Amino acid sequence: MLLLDTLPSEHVFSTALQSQNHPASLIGPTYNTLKVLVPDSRLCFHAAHLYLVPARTDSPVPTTAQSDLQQLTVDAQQAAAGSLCSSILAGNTSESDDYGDLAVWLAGAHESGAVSFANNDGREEAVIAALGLSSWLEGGAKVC
Amino acid sequence: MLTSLFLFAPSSQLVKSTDATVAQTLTSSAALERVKSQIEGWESRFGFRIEGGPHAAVLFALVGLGPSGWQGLVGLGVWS
Repeated sequence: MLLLDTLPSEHVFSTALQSQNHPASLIGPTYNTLKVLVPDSRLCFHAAHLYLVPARTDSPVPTTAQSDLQQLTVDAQQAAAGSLCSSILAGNTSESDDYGDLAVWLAGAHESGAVSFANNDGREEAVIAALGLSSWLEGGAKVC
Repeated sequence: MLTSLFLFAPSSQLVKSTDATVAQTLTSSAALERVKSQIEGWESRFGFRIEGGPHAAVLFALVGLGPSGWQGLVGLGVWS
């Protein structure tokens, strides 16, 4: 588990992911996304299963969810690459060609933290807070 | 079609235009179908983006209640 406060060099990161037998094509886009998130977030990156999780999560991610998250990251990045775009979410009109989509784990379905995500109002802010990215909303940023 | 992937994505004009462009451009692939099947299996889902933050990149998030809990995707895009 890698706390993003301590993101290593790209070489070290690449070596770590290669040791997990992840596709080489995922390494660069994944690292670039993490670099953007590093200065602000309180996230951990699970190198073995390619997902992000809030650093303050109290309970471990279920094993079944870990493989699901890994597959989600791999599928999203492969689908984006196959479509000549970097992000399946941003789409191919985005100018960026360096960032890869990453799966994120927020909470278990029956954990107390899940309630806030299920609310109709403010759930975006709850997700942003869980990601440790509340500072992104400062300075006139908006959630759309 | 990728269009269905974005039904629950941000409703802004930017994303709508992105959605339309992607839908016109992309063809179905095995990987894309796997992404869709995972997301469509979530009990509820929503998407949003953060625009005008401290970085040039725009953050997208797509979150849903999956088989084991709340999960999602985060993606970054840049428009000039």
